[in-house]
Amino acid sequence: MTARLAANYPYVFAVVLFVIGVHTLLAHANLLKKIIGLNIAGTAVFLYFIAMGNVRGRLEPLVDPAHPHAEFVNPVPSALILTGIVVAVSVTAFALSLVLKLYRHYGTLDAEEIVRLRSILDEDH
Amino acid sequence: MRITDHFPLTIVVGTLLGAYLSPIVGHVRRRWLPPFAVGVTLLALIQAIQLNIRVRDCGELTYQLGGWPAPWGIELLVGPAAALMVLVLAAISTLIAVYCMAYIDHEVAPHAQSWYYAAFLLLLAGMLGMAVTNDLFNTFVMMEITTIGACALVAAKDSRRAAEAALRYLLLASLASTLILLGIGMIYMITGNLNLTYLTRELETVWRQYPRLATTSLGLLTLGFALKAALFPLHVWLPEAHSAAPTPSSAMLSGLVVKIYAFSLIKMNYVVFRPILGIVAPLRELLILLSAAAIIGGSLFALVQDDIKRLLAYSTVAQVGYIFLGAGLGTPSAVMAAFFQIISHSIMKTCLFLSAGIIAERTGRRKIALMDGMGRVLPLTSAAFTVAALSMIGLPLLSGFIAKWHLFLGGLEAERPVFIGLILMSGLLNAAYYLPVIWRFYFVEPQVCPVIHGDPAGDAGALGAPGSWPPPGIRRRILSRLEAPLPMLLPVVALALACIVLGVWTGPTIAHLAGVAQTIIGGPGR
Repeated sequence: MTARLAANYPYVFAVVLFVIGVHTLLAHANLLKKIIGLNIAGTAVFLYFIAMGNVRGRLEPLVDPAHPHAEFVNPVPSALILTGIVVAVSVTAFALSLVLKLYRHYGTLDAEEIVRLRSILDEDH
Repeated sequence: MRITDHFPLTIVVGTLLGAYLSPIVGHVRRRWLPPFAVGVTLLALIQAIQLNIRVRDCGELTYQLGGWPAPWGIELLVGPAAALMVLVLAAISTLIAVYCMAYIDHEVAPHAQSWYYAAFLLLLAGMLGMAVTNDLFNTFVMMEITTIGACALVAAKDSRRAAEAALRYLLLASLASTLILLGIGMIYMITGNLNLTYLTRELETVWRQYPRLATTSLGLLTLGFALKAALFPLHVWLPEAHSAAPTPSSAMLSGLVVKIYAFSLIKMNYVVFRPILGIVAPLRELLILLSAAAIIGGSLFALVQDDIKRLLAYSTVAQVGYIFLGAGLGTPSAVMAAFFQIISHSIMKTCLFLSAGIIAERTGRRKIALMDGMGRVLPLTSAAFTVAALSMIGLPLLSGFIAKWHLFLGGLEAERPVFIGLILMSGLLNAAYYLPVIWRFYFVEPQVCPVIHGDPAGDAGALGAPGSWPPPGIRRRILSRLEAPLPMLLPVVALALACIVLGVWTGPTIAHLAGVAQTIIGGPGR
């Protein structure tokens, strides 16, 4: 069991990182930390994909006439993750702009504080 | 090669192009924006109708992007289920776009309108893409477009509530996307395919070797889609997002966005992961339990709301439970009922949200306690609301009844009569929160009579900004007799009529949907 885990260490790292990210997203009250947590979880999945594409001892996927029978790593996961990164960047940008908007309204980044302020503001209306 | 061959692609790309063009159109002339959006959605609707005719006549339609053959290139596949989904998406969003023509000034600031329409069309394009694609990673990309579009539609209203709801929605939906991406990674790892047809074929042989990875992957996909579709304990983002958003967005989110995720969940469970259907029975059992909790819990929460849009949002939580219940039971009638519910609920809930929007726009009232006497002030709107609400309760001759009836039959087929009791009870609960509203509409004397702001035809009154409807020259006199601008009234009345038509003239729909359900749970391979 331990040997198998050690042999597949990138996946173990990815899963640990994923859990850290999800925990940060759900358990921290600070909105910026939530976004950082989301990015950590996303990066963990990217790592998982990249690790999956790698085959130990094989070459980078460039066709070289000198070695027509060379065996390559799988380039597809890397290509997919390029798209994934673009998506993650845009989601992060969007989330940050919303956080900025909230900060202008409430003057705080703390989610619990915002809930408290909102209940006060709603009573005033 | 016929022109309809290209429709699976053009319906998505055309809408996407419309999304990119709308800021430019809005920059050139803001007046052209609403008709432009209606034009784009109408184009999608025409293609959707053509696609349905084509699929009915010639069977499912595949399209290979860029001519790259299937396992390497991205493939689009329109079967009966996808065609139906595309039609629902296009038809409902066309009606919402028409509604926007007169409504948009009320809740979205002028400078934000072109971006609002961009997000609206982006959302539609993403959902259409999710319905037609036959590629797992493409599903993810389209899903992210849908998510961002949906959050932007919530954030479009410039209020702190909307920003807060949008952020919460965005964070949880992105978490769901991450879960789904992890699931995609796992299944790609064992099958080596992203094309769903090839993936299923491969899974038939490899799942025995990696049963845990296969089930974990399906579990992650199901969890992700359930979070996005607001299955009961995961619904926390929905009520705030759907009620703080501008009304057309609420209709779009409650009516369509939730459905496309439920559709994807059904597709993943029954079509793509069919080879392991036998070993994931506990997952379906969990779906059934959660949907039962949703049906009861959502209604109980709805009972205590005092804001009409929040009530409608919680009602969505309950109604989505029916879709998942049908999907979880998995018998022919139950899956058919799930599809019928997808159609019926998108019609009913859109109608309810849009009529609540008219009430809010005309009289400025959103609290249920202030709805007294609305039936006299806004007769057509109240009638439409009443029809849709009665349909929600499940009164015979309305579409909601048909969905419940077939769910009944599904419960019998699965030999679990307990769900018949559940559905009956949920009908009573629905009545308990919809009937008081209808009662107030018609039978309570208002203390302060609701005042209609502005003149429906002119909009020169209290609403301020010069409305885009009607353009000068159209017979203002007739239009000003209406209780609300025609573009707002028309979709609401059309949707209410659709509730009745679907409920009365059920034969062809049921026959068609039974075929659709058969392709989902019965057919070979797909």
